[in-house]
Amino acid sequence: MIGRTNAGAGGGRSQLYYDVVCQTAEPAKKEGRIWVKSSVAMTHFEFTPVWDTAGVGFIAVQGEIGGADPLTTNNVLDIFNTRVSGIVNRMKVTPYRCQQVQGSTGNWVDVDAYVCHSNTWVHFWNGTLFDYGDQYTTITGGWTLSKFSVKDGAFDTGLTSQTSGKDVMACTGKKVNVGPYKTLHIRCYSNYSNSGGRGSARFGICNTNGYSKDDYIAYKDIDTKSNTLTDYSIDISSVSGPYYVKFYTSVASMQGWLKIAKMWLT
Amino acid sequence: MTIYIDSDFKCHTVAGDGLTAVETTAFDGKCAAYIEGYRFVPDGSTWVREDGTVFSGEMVTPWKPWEELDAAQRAYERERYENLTAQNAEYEAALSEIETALGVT
Repeated sequence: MIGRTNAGAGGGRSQLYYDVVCQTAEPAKKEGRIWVKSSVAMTHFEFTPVWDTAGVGFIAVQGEIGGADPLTTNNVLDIFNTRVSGIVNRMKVTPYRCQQVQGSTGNWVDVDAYVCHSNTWVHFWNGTLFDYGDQYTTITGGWTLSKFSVKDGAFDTGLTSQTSGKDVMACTGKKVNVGPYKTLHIRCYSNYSNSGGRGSARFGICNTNGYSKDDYIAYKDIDTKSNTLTDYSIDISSVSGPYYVKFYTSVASMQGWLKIAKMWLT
Repeated sequence: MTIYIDSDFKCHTVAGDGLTAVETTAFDGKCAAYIEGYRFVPDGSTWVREDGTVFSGEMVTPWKPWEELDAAQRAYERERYENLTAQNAEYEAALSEIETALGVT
């Protein structure tokens, strides 16, 4: 189904740069076209937060105003770009999340969505912040690492060789808008106890990116004795706006290591 | 410091029926309005959000909009600063009076 996002009011020809295709099969490529990959028919397309009473088929995109000029290296949407009385009028949106009501009213489901730039489908960000070495730099600004290194496709700390493990940290290089999301997740593995060491680790969101465990707005303490890949999550449903996402541990004497496999928002 | 949590893990600053006392450093320096906008899930406990998602402790996270809590905390810190400034001014005035009485300049 192709939903024509053609305003056209008063002037006839649309000044919008995009149209929306909602289907599972790859549609024809067209600059600025948005492809929502879903088998549920689209009934409405809107840039909006979600709400409980929206009907089946409704598609909502959340994001923020602005972004770089649309390229194949970003997923920025050109909403309109025109001149009015010789003055450029333009609106760009950086999309964060695409959801559709599926099954029953108000049942929002994350769906894959893409925008076509230069004959290439560019994926909307799906909430992932780090995934086995992929640092999602466009969103995170790259991860600032202290005593962490990206190794073998995953974060891998060098704690084994340290007699003082202060300020072991992985923090986003810039603030991430967590507003469209309700939960922050981390998947990690620690063997502190196997090595006879003791320590604590904390994961969450902060207003600052310093070496501290005391500046979190919301946090979850990580079990440093898990000895298995474990998922942890934090409720951030009452937090909106941009924040640093930070993992921090500070220990006096430590042996062992901790690996972070993935961090993401839902 | 001691906080008190209810059955939904929401924080309170005063003891009451059905509240459990918890020792934590998570809210050191924070005002009552800030603390009472938070949820504290202790280590070993779990909280289930209304959508069924389960969260385990220790988790500390706001249940009120954080901007509102931050504004309350800033107002509290401003007021504390102003009170301290006023108190310092009183001390300095008293000291001046003593110096004058003693003939010290």
